[in-house]
Amino acid sequence: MRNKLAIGSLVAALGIIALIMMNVQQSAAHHMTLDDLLGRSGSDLQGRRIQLAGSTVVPGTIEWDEYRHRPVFLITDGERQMQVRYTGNAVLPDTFQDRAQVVMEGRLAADGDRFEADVVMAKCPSKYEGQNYDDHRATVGDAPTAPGS
Amino acid sequence: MIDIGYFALCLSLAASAYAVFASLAGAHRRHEGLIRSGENAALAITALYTVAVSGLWYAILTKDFQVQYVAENTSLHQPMQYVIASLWGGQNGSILFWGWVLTAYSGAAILLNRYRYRALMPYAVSVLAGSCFFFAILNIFVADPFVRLPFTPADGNGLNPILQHPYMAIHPPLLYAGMVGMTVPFAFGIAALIAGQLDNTWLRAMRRWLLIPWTFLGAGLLLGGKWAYVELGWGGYWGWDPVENASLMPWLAATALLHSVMIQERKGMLKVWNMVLLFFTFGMTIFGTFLTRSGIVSSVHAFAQSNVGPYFVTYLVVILVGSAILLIRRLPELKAENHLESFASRESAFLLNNWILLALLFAVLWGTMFPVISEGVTGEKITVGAPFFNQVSIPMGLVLLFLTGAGPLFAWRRTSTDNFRRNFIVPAVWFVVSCVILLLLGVTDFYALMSLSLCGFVTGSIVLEFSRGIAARRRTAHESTLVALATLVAKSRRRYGGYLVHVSMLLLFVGFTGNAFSTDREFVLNRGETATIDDYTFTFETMAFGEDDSKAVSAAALRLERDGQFLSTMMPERHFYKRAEQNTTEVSIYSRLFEDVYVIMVGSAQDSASAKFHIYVNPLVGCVWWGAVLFVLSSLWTMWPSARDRRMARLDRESAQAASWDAVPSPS
Repeated sequence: MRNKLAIGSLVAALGIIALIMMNVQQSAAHHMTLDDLLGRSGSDLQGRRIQLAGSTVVPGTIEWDEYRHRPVFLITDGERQMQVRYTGNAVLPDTFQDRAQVVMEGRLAADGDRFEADVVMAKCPSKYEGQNYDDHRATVGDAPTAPGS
Repeated sequence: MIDIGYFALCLSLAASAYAVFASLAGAHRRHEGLIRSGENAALAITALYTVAVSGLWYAILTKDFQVQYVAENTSLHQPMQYVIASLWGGQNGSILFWGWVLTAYSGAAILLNRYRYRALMPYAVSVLAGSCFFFAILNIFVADPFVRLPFTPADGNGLNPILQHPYMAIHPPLLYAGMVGMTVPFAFGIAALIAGQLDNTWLRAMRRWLLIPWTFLGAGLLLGGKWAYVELGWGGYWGWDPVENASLMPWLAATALLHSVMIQERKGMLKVWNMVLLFFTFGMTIFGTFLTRSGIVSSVHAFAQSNVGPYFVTYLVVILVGSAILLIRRLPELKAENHLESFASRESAFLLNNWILLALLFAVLWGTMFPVISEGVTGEKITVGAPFFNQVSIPMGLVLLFLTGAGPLFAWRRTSTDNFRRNFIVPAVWFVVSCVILLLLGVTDFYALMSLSLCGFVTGSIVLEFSRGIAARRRTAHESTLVALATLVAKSRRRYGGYLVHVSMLLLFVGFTGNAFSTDREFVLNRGETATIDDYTFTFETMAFGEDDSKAVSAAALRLERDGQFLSTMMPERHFYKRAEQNTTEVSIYSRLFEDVYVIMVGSAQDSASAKFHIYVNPLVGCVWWGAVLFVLSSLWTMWPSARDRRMARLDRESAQAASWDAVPSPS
């Protein structure tokens, strides 16, 4: 019984590992930042699925199409910029706006200087907390002066 | 109030440190007074944390914007119910709230169980108080919600608009209650190991305390799905995002544990396995919290990222190393009393269920962590998306579905060929009949066909179980069918309540399978124009605009017809939140019995003469929500103490109050 059990579990485990391994290839995308992407020569990235993270939308550069569906916009990592064209079908998330942090999936366009994204995920600029009070606190100091409630 | 809250937080740090010490010392020296004192200190933490939470809540409700957390998470024009929800809408407040839920659990565990499980309690109290200590440290030193600004802003930033939704207001507390609640069963596990009380007593205590967070976690997951469905506007409810996975994984582990505990109770097998599974479940909740808060994997969720990551890692390592050492020390006492006798047995079915659940968990973990793993191995960060998770989870889900039906059909120890035939014939017929009907209906997708047919199989199995129970009662107690059914469900809650939970899983699977049949299209319509999808026609009639203090609204009116018959006027909207300068889409959903029509207004042209719509037809999605409701109700029913349980508890309490601590066996 014990041997049978061991063999059975081994077969099951191998099956499951095979299932995972076979499928991991399928939807894999190479995760990069703008820096990585611009640093690499265009040719070895052609046709590969890329997940581009770590950049934000340059304020005022979102150009929507007539129905506010598929925009063209610029992203930046603070130093460099790149143009992105959204090609997906889904409605962009409500958090997609100026200065939003974006994580995108897609491919580098054939000419190599535009990113064609079919998935765009966006986080609100600096999370929920729209205005960042942390910086202010750091400069003014941490001493609460006025008596509170 | 803010100062009182902060002060209470500091006191709770001291109280939790004392509670750990007093309980351990008391148990070691068998000193009743010290043990009592430890319990009382632990109860004091609950009170202190309540004061701290009230302090922050007061600041939020009075809109005291000088408090940084209040300024960041509320605003003057925020509706009342979301002002309340601001307590857990941001990082620091949610950690305070998290700690409060933990102290509430620990208080409840102490009050309910201190007489019943005397030998275990001091150790359980020290584990619970130790966890409270950890959260108090986090709140005081890393994530202080009571920090003041040097000035008072005129208005706050407000809660993120997409979180301003009733489902989202209760979804986080449910998840917290689910994640945090796993601390109690974990505490009983550790207590059993330290005290050397490894019989079924601790297992019963642990099981009940496991059911509660398990239910909360499941409800929280499903409610999060419902929120995504009605609010996010992509037509689906589950996206395999790391944050979703982080709460799914502990639920899967806990589900495995709930099943394998039964084998230990009945057969004295899998003792080590169950301990490991318990620690793993608890570890997964901490790991999940770490995952969502540390930003180690990128997620769509707008979770506040902060420096709490290293603290959670330290906490996790302490827990895992500590429990591993305790477990190794007790290994000789955790020998199995029985061995597996046959593959065709209830035990094997449960074991297989455990493996599949854990394999599924592992697959989800692997996919979630793949960017980190691949970067470590090849130096290149590779992410995997929803297609991976779907491809992997569907086959495993189908095996689980099969086991849901097959498990109860196997006898304990071994199933004779005769028995096997008698038990499987009815469900097998259900399977074949469903399969034929589905084929006649034109279902050709293999997975969908298998899934729905297996649902037929499981239905057959559950019907069989119920009808056998009813028949037995009719024979022995001469009850009518309905009375027999009611008595079964009322008296054998664990068994028949469990079957009801299985029915809810069945509904969920039917709902998930609906995804295979959903269709979606995109239309640009001028006013008065008509579009068709499946049997439905949509006529874009008009647009309307409105405005209030916090947002501007534009709404489209679409006339929905089916076979020329008017069904409804659908009103998808877009909101523009002025303060956050953020657009949100408000979906319009028309639910029929078997399918949803789901309309999003992507946007409208400047002159609003034409607009672009994305329309989904989602069959069977309603089953997910009905399954969710049944899941909560049947889980509650399963864990609710029956009259007999309450009587036993009272007897225990009375006898324990009379006896002194000396009667409790000492740890070996």
